[in-house]
Amino acid sequence: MRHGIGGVTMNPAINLLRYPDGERRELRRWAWMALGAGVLLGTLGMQLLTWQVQARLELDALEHQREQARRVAISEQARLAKVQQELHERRLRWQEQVSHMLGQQAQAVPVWQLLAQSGVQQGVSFGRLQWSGDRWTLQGQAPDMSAVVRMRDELLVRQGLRSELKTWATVVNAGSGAFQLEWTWPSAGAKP
Amino acid sequence: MRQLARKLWGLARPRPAPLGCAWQEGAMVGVRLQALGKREAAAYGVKTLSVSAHAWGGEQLAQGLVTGLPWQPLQAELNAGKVQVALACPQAWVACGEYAAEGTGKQQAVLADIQVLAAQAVGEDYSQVCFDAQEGAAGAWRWWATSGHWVRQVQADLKSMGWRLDRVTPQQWAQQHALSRLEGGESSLQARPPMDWQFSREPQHAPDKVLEWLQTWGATAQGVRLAACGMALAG
Repeated sequence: MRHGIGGVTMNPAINLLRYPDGERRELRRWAWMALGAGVLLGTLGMQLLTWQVQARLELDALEHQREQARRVAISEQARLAKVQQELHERRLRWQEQVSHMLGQQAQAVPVWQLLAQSGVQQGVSFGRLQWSGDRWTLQGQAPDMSAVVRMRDELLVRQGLRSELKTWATVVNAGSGAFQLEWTWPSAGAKP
Repeated sequence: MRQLARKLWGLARPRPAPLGCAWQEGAMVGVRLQALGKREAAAYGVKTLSVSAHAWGGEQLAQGLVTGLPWQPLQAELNAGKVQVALACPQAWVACGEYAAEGTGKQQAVLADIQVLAAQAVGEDYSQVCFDAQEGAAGAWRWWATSGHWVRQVQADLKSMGWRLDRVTPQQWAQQHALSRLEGGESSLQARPPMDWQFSREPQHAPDKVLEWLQTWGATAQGVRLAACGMALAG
């Protein structure tokens, strides 16, 4: 609103202190306010930045921990799978060995029966029949080596066992000798 | 630290009403207004001083204000150094003029030109003069100026007492500002003592009527009181 005084138009706010000192003061005041606002905003910005960096670091640390835990879990899972695989393979091996042993035991009976029959006819006495793996060993005593050879031939004919006379030791003044036959079973051509 | 806290508290709290002052030869008036609700304020106190000095200096003015205004309600503020002073300057102390800015000159350049003109009119150095300028229609500027020497002297003397000079205004403007808001207009000037004057926040009399009343009352003792009230209102 304007009012006239003495024919002169005057605004409602005249202050002779406005220029130049008041203006300078006002500029200084604004400068200080701007500086204060700048410092405040800068401080807030720095604080926010610090918070953000801190939060980022914490998140990274958490993520790292999770990654480590995940790796440990995967590693443990792989170890367990490997153990299970080993157990499975071992069980298969055991089953195979047991089956093999059962087969050998089943084979040992007719072989022993045959040996017993043949041995009686040839005058051979048996001490021990043992096997280790596929390797069979028969120890006993015979009146002479030819009786052992005949028995070996009979084993080949009747059981398909190709045995080998490993040792023959004549007992002096006893008219007999100790022998040791060896063969492998199962072998090609052997009867079941 | 204590000063900083005091300054911050000063910024946070509402500003107190200023002490409006006006003087002419032989008399000085200080006015403190008191709010009476939303729209009205009453003259709180008026003190007339008999001062013989013709040429006012800052020290005389400050001493006159201090010794002449021992009002009890003000005493606490005076002691606490919270008084803000708004001063109406006698018209004889104010130089005014007009300045036609060429084209669309920058405001800073216009103000610099006006500052030179004002300094010449007051008879002071360019850096000393105090002035105000306002732009009218079509680049026509109006300016008012007074001596920066005595203004700074008044400021320094008031500051030494903890007071602060906030505003210096031509007396005519202060009178017009108060009279346009005076309840009852000219009749109040005639019939009521200054202690009973009441003012509204907004103007309620036409400018022409106000000018007419001022031609009658402007140069009287009532006119000085009116100017002091105008300064207290404008603060």
